[in-house]
Amino acid sequence: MKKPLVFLLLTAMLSLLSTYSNATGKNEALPFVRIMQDPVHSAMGGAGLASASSIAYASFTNAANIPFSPDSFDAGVSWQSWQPSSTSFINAGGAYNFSGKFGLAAGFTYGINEPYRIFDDNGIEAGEFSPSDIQANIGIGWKFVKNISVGINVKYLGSTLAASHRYEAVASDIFFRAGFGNFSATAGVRSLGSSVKSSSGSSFSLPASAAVGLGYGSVFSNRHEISALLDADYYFSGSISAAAGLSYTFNDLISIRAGYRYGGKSVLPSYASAGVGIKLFGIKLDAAYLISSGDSPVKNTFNIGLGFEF
Amino acid sequence: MKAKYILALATIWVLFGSCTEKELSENGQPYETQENSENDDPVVRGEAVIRFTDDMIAMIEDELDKGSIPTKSSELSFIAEQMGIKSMKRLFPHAGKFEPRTRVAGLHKWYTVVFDDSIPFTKAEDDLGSIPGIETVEPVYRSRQTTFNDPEFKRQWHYYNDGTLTSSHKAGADINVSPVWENYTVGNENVIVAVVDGGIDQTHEDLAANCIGGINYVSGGTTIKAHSHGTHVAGTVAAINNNGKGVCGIAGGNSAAGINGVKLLSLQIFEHDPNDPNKDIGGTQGYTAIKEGADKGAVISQNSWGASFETKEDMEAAKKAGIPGYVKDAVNYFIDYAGIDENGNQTGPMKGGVVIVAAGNDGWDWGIPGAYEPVIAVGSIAPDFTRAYYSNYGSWVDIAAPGGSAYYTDGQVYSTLPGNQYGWMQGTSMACPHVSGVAALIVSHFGGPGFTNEMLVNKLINGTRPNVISQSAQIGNLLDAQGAFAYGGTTPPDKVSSYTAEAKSNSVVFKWKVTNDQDDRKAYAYVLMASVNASSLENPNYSSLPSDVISSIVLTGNANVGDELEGSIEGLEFSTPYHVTLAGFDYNKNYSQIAEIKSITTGENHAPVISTEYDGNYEIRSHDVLSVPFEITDPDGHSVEISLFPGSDAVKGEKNPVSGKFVVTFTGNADEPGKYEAVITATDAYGMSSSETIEYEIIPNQAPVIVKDIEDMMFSSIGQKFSLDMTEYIEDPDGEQLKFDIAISDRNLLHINPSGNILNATVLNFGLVNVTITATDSRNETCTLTFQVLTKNQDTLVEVFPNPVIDILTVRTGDEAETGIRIYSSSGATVYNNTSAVSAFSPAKIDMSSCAPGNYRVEVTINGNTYKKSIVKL
Repeated sequence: MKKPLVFLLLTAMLSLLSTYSNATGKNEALPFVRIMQDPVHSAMGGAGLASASSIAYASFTNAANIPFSPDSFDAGVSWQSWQPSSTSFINAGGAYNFSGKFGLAAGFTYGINEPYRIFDDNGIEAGEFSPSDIQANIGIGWKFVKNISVGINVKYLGSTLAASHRYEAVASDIFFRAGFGNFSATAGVRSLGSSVKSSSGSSFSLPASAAVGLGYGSVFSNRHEISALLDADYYFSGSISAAAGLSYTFNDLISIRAGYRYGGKSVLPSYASAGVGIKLFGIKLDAAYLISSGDSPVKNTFNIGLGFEF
Repeated sequence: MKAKYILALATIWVLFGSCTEKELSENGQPYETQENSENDDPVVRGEAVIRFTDDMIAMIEDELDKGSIPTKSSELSFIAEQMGIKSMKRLFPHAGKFEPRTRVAGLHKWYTVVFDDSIPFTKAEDDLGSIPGIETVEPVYRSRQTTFNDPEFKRQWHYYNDGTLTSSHKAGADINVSPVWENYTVGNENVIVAVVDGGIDQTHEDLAANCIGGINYVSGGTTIKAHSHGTHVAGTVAAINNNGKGVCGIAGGNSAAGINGVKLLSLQIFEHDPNDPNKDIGGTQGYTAIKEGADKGAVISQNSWGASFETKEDMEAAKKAGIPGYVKDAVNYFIDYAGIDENGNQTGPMKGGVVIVAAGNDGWDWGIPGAYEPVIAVGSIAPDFTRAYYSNYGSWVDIAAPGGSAYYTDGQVYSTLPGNQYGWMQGTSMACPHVSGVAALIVSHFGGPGFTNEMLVNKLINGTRPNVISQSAQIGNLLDAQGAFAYGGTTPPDKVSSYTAEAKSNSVVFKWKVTNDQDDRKAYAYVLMASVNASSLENPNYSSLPSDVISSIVLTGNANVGDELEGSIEGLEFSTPYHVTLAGFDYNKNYSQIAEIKSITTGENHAPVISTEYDGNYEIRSHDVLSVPFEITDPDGHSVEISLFPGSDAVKGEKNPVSGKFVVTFTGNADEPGKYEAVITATDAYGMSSSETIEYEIIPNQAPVIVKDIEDMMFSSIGQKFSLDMTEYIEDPDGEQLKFDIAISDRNLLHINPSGNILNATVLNFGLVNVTITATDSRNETCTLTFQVLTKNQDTLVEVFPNPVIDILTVRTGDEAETGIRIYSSSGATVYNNTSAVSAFSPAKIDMSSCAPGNYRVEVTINGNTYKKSIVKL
């Protein structure tokens, strides 16, 4: 187990160095990597860095959470209508917790963007093209002492924008996590990776940031479970963002969730969110809805997912 | 060795003609021509010949080539409609590989115009001459072709050569047969010419009536097989005249008048080789045919053939050996017995015969049978009096005739070919039948009891034209049909019984009537004489008139007895008493008695008169080209030299060859503005002059000015058209027609075709173009207008392009309005947000070069309405 972890760590460090060297202050490439695809944490303002209660999408967020999960296995698929009529994401993710010591995770996203009409310099139409995005992740978590773990995700990102124009990058997340009773905390960096180059020759870095996350979870009277999450990011481009979310679960059967994200000038805008979930015999159905001001492009974004855990 | 030569001489005979059938068939197609009218008007009504300027021909030649009346020149199109122009065809047709030099010579600019024949030429001349692109208008004169209507006669320069067929043809290099046709005879059917040659096409449309069959010495029997050489030779002797078909023959009769020509007896000694049409078989019985021609009633033996020598050494050997005996005997037999029956009585039109032979085509100084003295050996000339390059020569050559030369365009002899065809051939073979034809005419006219072959030869040889062919050519004098007929005549024309003589300055004008000539029908010409001493005129020695006698010659030409003639003597002393008279003479220089001697006093000299009908001013604007015709006449009829002092480079002057007027042209932009004087001076042949001073002013130029801007235009579909009348936008204070140059930023989007002041435009594609119109006047002063033309699809109010974008994104709307533009990344981050005035002609330009490659959404808000577009940045 140590060898893969060392490999991922090295890859992540190289990505970090690459990010620093390519940080230019322009806007950031392949921003879809920062969109929360997990319907549970989408409903909580996108917060979830320190959450170990739903680990199916850990390869998208923080693999260090896996060894702290009460479940051995969690997997799910989801469909998210992001900026409705603009992009549809089809997502899949899964994680396995080896006895609370190691965790492995993988994930996949395919984004279908609205077709666009091609026009030349004179405005003369010359056809139509359907761009697409793709993301594939693997992650690993290791609790190397009783209350502390480390997790690393490596992600392949690809975006096909026009005929013969495909942009690709590799991104990595590295987090440490500590858990003490009902509290948990995590810190690390995410979306470190290679840059992409535009047709005019300019380089653009990925939306990399340093991030911290806090979590609280407690069960009252064996039926009432409450959890609270808080994430904060400092982007290397200079912007900051934060997200907070609350979840209440009755009898391990029905959950309601809400949250808010402050986007600032980051790659994701601000929005409020809400969601519900139901779990029966390990099978989960979760949904999230993003509530935004009238002119926000993410207004009416909707995410629904089906999962299984044991 | 001698036996071998004789065998070869007896067995190998070739034609002296050197053209091939293949060449002939290409040129042998009959031409369509206009028949001569019975009208005596020398000018063809309803036709004119014009020459275009270089600019005009460049503009309209493509239309002319298509056979249409040009429309690109509005002036020409207008006049064409007024005149009822029916066709405009090149006078000198396209010349194939010679077209480039034809154009260098400027011949492509000459066109024959056919118009309504109710319009007299003078009116057509004025109308066509008023068109700036036509520099010359000339009448179409009838060809001087007697009364025959054979369409190909115009090619037969060998009969009548006025030097116009090509520039290489020299006037007079012909056999002068037309006067004989007019005054003496066209042939007589009682004269038989034996054509010893290839077979004559007995069914040829232009020969059949004059053919009487013959003998085939090759195949035997009497079936004549048509042969190109024999048919060509026969056509020269007696192709049927005035039948509206093909060519003329020298003694071919007059079909329309019901007069048959001489008869052609075909004695065939060659046939085309059935295995190789380019070769012949036969040729061994030529002398048999000569002999039997006499027995068949012929009095003229036509022989365009002779001995063939492989080398000059062979010829020299034969020359040394002398003329073979059987050659002499055969020739002698024909000369002695033709026209005489077995009892020695004359039965034909001539007692005795003539053997006429081609001299040969080797360029040597000897040949058989030409070198045999009793025959008439015929050498050949080209269309310019020079000896044809191939012609044999020597003192033994008796007479020259046109045999043509392929080295000259249309320089060969044109005659009949088998199968109702016609074509060119060259050679002494072609010269020879000219002599035979004229001989046949002489026999036709003079023949009868007592007329002998010696008389014929006497007329034929002594009637030739001396001094027109260089003696060094050694081919004899040139055959002259009229000279042959006139030779020997001693009867002069009748005396001119009355005439008028009127002094005009230092000239005396005579008028009289053509007088009769007893043996030549009419006087050939008249000599007009004047002297201050009456005694010098009383018994003049015409071969050497006294030094105080001034004379001039007037040819009778086509005029008939009783027709009035007019002529004058010029260059006499002014205001001096003279005595005058005149006398007629025939072609043989027999002079009539002089007419009454009259006294007359010449007049004074008067200065030329310069006048013009133009009464306008001479204020020339820069764009003006003013042409003023001046009529310059000399009251005395003297020649006048005209000189022009222009005063500036703006003035040129030249004589119009059609109207004869001196045209002074003022070109406004050819010199600087200012006041100038031009002086026209006319000086007569005796130094008396007059002048006309023209004060003219070139007005300063004013540049064109913009009176109204052209507003930007927007269109919604491809193919839409619009027109601009530039007179609404740009004016020239001088009122001149401006030249408009158009620059379009993208010619794939818009096409503009200027037509005078109107610009016709067509939208070719969607997009925005900048149009720049530059108006230029005659002095190259300009003004410029610019405008934009936008063609956008009205289905799309908001256009966002290019897409994908690399750097600058254009957002174009319709009418100008405050427009909010926001651009979001795919994750929802706002990368651009701005509100400004945007319109179709002032689109928003957004620099997206700092945006990462990816999907973006553009939201455009106009008047509360939001339009969303997906774009991609690369």
